[in-house]
Amino acid sequence: MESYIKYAQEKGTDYIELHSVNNKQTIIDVQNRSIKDASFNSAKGFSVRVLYNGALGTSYSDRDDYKKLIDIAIKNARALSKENPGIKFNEYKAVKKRFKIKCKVNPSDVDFEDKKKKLLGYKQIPGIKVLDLIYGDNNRIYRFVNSEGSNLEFKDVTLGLVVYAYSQKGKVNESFLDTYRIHGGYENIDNADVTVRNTMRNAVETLDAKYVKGGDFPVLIDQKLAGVFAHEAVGHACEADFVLKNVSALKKELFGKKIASNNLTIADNKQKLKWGYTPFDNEGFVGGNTILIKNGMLNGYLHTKETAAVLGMEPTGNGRAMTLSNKPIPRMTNTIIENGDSNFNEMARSIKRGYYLKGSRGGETNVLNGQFLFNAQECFLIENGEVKQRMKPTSLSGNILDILPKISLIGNDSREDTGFCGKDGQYVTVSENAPHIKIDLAKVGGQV
Amino acid sequence: MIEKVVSYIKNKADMYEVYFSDSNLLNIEGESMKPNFVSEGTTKALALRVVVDKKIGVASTLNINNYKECVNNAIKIAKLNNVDKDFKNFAFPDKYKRIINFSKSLVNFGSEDFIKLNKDIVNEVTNLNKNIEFVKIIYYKNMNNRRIINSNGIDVEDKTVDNSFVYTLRLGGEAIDLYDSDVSILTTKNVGETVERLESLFNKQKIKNARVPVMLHQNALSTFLDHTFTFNIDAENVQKGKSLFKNMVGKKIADKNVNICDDGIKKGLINSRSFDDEGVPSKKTDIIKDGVLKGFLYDVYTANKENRKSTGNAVRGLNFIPKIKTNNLVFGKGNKTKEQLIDSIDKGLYIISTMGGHTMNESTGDFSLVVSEGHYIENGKIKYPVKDVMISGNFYDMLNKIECIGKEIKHYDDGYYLPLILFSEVNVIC
Repeated sequence: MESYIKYAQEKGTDYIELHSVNNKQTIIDVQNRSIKDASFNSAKGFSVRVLYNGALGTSYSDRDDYKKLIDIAIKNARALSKENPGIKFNEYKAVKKRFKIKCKVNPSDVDFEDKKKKLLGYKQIPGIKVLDLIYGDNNRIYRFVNSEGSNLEFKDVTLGLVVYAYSQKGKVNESFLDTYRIHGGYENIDNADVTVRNTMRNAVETLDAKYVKGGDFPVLIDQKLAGVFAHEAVGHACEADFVLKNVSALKKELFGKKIASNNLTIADNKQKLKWGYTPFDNEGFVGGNTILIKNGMLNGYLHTKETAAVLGMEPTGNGRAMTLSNKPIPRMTNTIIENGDSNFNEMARSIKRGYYLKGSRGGETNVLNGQFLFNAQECFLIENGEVKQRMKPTSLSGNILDILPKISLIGNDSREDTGFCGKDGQYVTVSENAPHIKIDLAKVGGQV
Repeated sequence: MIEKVVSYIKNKADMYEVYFSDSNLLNIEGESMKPNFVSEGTTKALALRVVVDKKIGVASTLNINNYKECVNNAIKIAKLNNVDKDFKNFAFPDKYKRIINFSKSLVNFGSEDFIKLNKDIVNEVTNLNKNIEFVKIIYYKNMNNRRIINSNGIDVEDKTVDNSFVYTLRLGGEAIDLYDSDVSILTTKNVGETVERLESLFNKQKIKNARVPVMLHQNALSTFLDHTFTFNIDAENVQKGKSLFKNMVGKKIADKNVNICDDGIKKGLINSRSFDDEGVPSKKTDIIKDGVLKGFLYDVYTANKENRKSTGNAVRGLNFIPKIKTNNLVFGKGNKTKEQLIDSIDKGLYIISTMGGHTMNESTGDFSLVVSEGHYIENGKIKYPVKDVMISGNFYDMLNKIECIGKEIKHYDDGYYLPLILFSEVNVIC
């Protein structure tokens, strides 16, 4: 590897990285207790990234012909550098470290027959028309070397089950989606059982629900939705590329200022062994726990080397790329709302008329004007402090800076939820870890 | 290389299908008016389906030197799989219409050429409004070489090239995307409309809850089609009972003026091609005609299940298992100009963009979305942009409540060719 680094340096690059990925994956798609699709997929990839006269060039291939990759990356970066785009990286200490996911049973060692038996064992409950289960496991080795002397390796093992349940009663159809995902071995697979059961139950129960009346209401939101809230309303606005372009509602001028209630602390902890675990990012930076909001004050941003250099801050190890071909950009990893001290009953009791919203198909944020939307898969009416009948799924919307001070109560029952986050067409693994929270007033979509 | 794969697989499987693609991607990005990141590389993919004792096995690899392992994996899965009674065969050779989406000048378009195009765009935007800032530039050019060989004698090959850009433009506290995609070199043609949209987003005002007429711009309409309609016209979802349209063929499911087809063969449309990813000729398929549901989109497997022909809608995605996807979804035009549509609205909304499209219920069509770019209309005039508005309801109820359809068809998103549509009532929550 050193000879390639030397080769790139002789050609005038200011900085160079070499990457390689080796990936092996099994996917089994089971519908109504029969296998619809099953496949083994493998991939091998090599890439380089160079910094040349203020421009970044990347090139990749399925062959480790690094010299050729360096030539292509320099050729393209040179074309861009004529306009002086001016990217600078600060220098960082070399890190040499290996990371490995521990597992008792590597899913790649489990017979296809055993996986099949497990998946075909899930029975549909009455009212479920289609139960669609997509199982996936992945063994991935990612290696990173750069011209500063860093040498990193991550041996990752993941396991996941995506559950779609379609229910029907007369002419009414409903569908429900949930997932179980973990960095770990096949010994965890039975933990997905509860996800399958709950998804089917929710799909059936939603059939009889009535549409919500829309408008501004106090809401109690569950761990999953609170996590989506932290991710959508706070996490994205703390991504430093938005901040340095001055397009984030949580702009530089607010840094260190109070933007939320005192009891709110939100962090991005990439080293926690949750679904967003990123021991080092795609720029070879390790990083740790970044506190974004500390007791209501704006405290931190998520950086790449590029954004850290521009804003004069330290990188946080959040420069993530979907594949070797993509540009690393600031991304969340594990978003965490720290537990508060309220319990569920006390939070529900504080609402005279409002909604208890649970689960989510995701959300979206406009970081510039602060507008966000997040979907709730389950909705229950709250009347006089009591959680009552189930309603149809709905969405919440609002503005980041308006809603943060309206978070009045924070629960003590944090739980993890897993997913993928899309930005600039790149999807990366993320988790959200949050307790129940109460928002004094938010806009709920529905009928008028 | 592909010949080697075929000769290796031949004696091991009763039936086989070999899909090979070699793609070259150029990606250029930037956070100001100057691009600062460029990525170029090739990805070679091999995807296989084999049948052994009436059982199917699938495997793929991005490491084609390792094709033997890939073949053996597919065979291994097949042997362990259940017999699928619905699987009959892969595609058979057919007549193909030659569609060439391989512009030589686009093939040769490189990073230096993009720098020139970028300058033109920057100049044109800045000339229209010097206060507009460039927040994000993303450009992609994809050249792809496909070859499909199967045990029924299909051996087809083609080359395609296309490209797209998204520029996020900002003016004060508002930002929107300038977007274009085509099979030829892109131009500045969408700059004027996008700048106008951005400039008209200021002095937003609140409105009141109501059920009012709503006119959807192509951009907003494509969100609904992408997140629920395409799901329900997928024959697999129909056969599995997931689709709302099950048992509805021949029935009226939309207003009588609604005509929707999937066109994979019309020249000049972005996703037109001679054949799909199973080697089946592309065609035009009516989905809704005069409000009546005519049919669905099929691949070979789902078509065989109903003893009909595939509509040529198979694509291979990231995991290389063929799925059904629209080629170009074309919504039949009406007879009204944009001005006439607006003029007919007493009190209502014109919605250009929404947020949260991916959260709508794909099978039922229930949605609850934020209007991120919308204007209040009163007495046939656009009055002002709206603030903090959501819309909520069911897309299929809306399809039955169409007031008028515009006469101009525009390409939006990837492969949607749509008019403006005025719906008679939608829940608006403020």
